[in-house]
Amino acid sequence: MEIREKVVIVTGGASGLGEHITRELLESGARVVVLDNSKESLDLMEENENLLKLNCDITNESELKTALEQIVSHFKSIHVLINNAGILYSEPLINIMSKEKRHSVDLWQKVIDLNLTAPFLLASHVVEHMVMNRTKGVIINISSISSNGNIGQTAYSAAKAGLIAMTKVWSKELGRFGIRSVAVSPGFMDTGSTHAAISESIVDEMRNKTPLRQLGKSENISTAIKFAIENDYFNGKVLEVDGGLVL
Amino acid sequence: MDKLNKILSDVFRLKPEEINDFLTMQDVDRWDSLTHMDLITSIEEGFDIQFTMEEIMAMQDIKTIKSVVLEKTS
Repeated sequence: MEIREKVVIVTGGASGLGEHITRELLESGARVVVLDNSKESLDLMEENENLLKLNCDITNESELKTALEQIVSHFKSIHVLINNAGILYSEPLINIMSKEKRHSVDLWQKVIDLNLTAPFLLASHVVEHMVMNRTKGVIINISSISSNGNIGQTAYSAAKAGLIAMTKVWSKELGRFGIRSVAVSPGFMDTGSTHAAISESIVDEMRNKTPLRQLGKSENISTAIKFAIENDYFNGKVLEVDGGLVL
Repeated sequence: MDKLNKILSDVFRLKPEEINDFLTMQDVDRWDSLTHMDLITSIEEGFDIQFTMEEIMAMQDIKTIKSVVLEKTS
């Protein structure tokens, strides 16, 4: 599928990796819709006739429905959904030194809600619209190398592994409608969210364990996303962009 | 209607002689909501037509499918 003039939704597209993906897609001629819960980040984005910025909590289904109505009203159709929004959270299953002793259930739920349930909700609404309007398209789920089970990341790893499972199910269910489903699985990235969520000593350790001896860059991921959109025979698979790191 | 029967037998993986007007969604194991949309897009592509939402919802038996297709192609 050619990227030019296609309508692409990027969740969490107003900052970090998402903002980079948004800029790259705009440069490739796409019409991009950014769904982001930060109005401040959205306001900071430069205006562009091919960019629609919507302030939306994607874990809230009624807000999602309203946003999708706005998208269809503005751009008429939807061709690509990039489930990028997420939170990187680390906590061990047990911590006998802390007062609570065990992994917070509230934070487990928060990670699952944003990283797994929101992509499920969005995909269900977007695909319904695609099928009913006979639009062929692609669902791209941004997973993580942590989907293999990263120590100290029970909730995050479970959510990212769940995203890969959903990708495979959807590729089988939706292929008949010309809708592909793929996942992009970054390794350890040199982004603000990585440095905010993981201690520098762990980041250094992961850099040293990576055969290429460097963290990933945003452009490594946007290149993979563009490949996933453009290659019409790529379906149900995970593009692992991790410098060769094995957890 | 030969073309339609061919699409029905391909989508439902039934022999042509097993297709009859009295078959309904309940009678065919493979005829779930996903296969239904598969059938709809196959007929639309085969006959170069497009069904409305009301027609898609109503087409739950072979007799109705034939009747809607006939109406749209005549």
